[in-house]
Amino acid sequence: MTLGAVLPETSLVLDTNILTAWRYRKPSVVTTIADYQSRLKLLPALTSITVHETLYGFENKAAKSGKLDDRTLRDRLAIEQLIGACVVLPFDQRAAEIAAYIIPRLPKNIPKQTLLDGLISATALAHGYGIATNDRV
Amino acid sequence: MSTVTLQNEASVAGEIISVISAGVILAPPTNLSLEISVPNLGGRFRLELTDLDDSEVENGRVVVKAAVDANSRMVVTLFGDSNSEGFHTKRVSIGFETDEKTAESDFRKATLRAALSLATQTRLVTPGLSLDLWFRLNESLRDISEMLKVRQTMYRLMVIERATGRRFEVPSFIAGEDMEAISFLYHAITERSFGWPFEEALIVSYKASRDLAIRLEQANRSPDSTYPLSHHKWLFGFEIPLGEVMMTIIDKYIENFEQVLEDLKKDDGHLVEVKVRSRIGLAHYLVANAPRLPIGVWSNDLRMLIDMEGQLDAAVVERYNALAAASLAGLSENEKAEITRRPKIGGAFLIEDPSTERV
Repeated sequence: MTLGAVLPETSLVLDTNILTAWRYRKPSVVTTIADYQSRLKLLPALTSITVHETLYGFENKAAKSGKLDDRTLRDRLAIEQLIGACVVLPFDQRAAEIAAYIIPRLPKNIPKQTLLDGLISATALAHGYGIATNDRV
Repeated sequence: MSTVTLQNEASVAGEIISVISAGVILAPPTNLSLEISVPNLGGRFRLELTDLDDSEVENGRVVVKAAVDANSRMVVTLFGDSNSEGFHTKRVSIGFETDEKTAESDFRKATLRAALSLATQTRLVTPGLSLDLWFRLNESLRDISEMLKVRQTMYRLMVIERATGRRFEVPSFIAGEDMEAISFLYHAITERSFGWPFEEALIVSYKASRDLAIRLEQANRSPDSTYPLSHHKWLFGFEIPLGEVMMTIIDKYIENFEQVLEDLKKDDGHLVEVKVRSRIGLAHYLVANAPRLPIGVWSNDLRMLIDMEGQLDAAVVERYNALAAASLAGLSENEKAEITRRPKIGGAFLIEDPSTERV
């Protein structure tokens, strides 16, 4: 997990992979989030792209099966509460401009998901945040 | 004559868990106290009662105020029924009111409120009023998190105040530049050596000389450059001097380096402006002469509140972790994989069959 420059006050966003690892209770992510909270007294932020990706999982399942069962609905409520507790950075005009610059310059053989990561990075940059990610591109 | 500004904060409703003694004997609040214990955080607070408003007791409302310190009070509103045996509490809400915003007052208040909000249950006892109940506050995680941020800011301000011997009037809204100054000063006082974002340029003026051009060319081969500076920060309109600071610009570069060299080589003593920047936006500061925090500066009760930090952090992170884990609770590994699979970029952003697009 990359945390960018090691500065005590750097605000970070979690990219989607790190949020997912947190939901899976991956110990290194749980520890890193606890360390971050103890320094900044806030959770890392999320981008609106990650909110989209996270809710997409539930909506995709609901669209396929008609509706979500009660258990999955409870899970969805939990992630909505977690998102509600975080600062969510919007993909705004500045982010769109940065993404327009970054994405055409990415290597041609990258996985398609990297384009979403490009939007997440652009959003973080537009709002002056660093990114907590395990991507190596 | 001083003007007292009363600032009220929104009350937070509490859910009563159990009532051991709910009767309020209506009596003047002389030498009475409100005792609050938060077992899972190890916090115990004893606040002197300052006011008891029973004017609406017939309507089922009693307001008890207790001093957090000389500037602020905790306001406990009891809702219930009144009969011949006394007042029977059914609901409770907690709020705070402040006369003057000071770092210490706001720190005490934020700690108390965060502790009550993060407690699995809180016991509230006022022996003189025969009140003894357990409750739990219903505060949102986002609000608790922001309260912890306020608590941290106020603690840092207290450190700056004690180290510099200056007391600040804390504005209701702290501007971004002041927040940055608080953080920088806090790290300077408590750590003295630390990294900090550096996005701007350091401007250094040199008299043009051929020798200097040679020295600058040699120095430019090193990735970092260190400069002694006389440094200060402005906080709430006051200048806080930090003395001589050694600032090292990490992964530095000099703007228009070739032009700078050419100007220096003119060797005519004219001033050449050199702009030094960091490629990665980072500088390291050594602030050896920053003000120092005196030893034994905190009173015992303040020390107790400061030491609650680790428990408050752990309690809020535990709630966050529980929510994150709950978002996949009860699902099989296949279901988890399906829920967390990232959308295909085509599916998420593109219309695969243009003929289905309707304008």
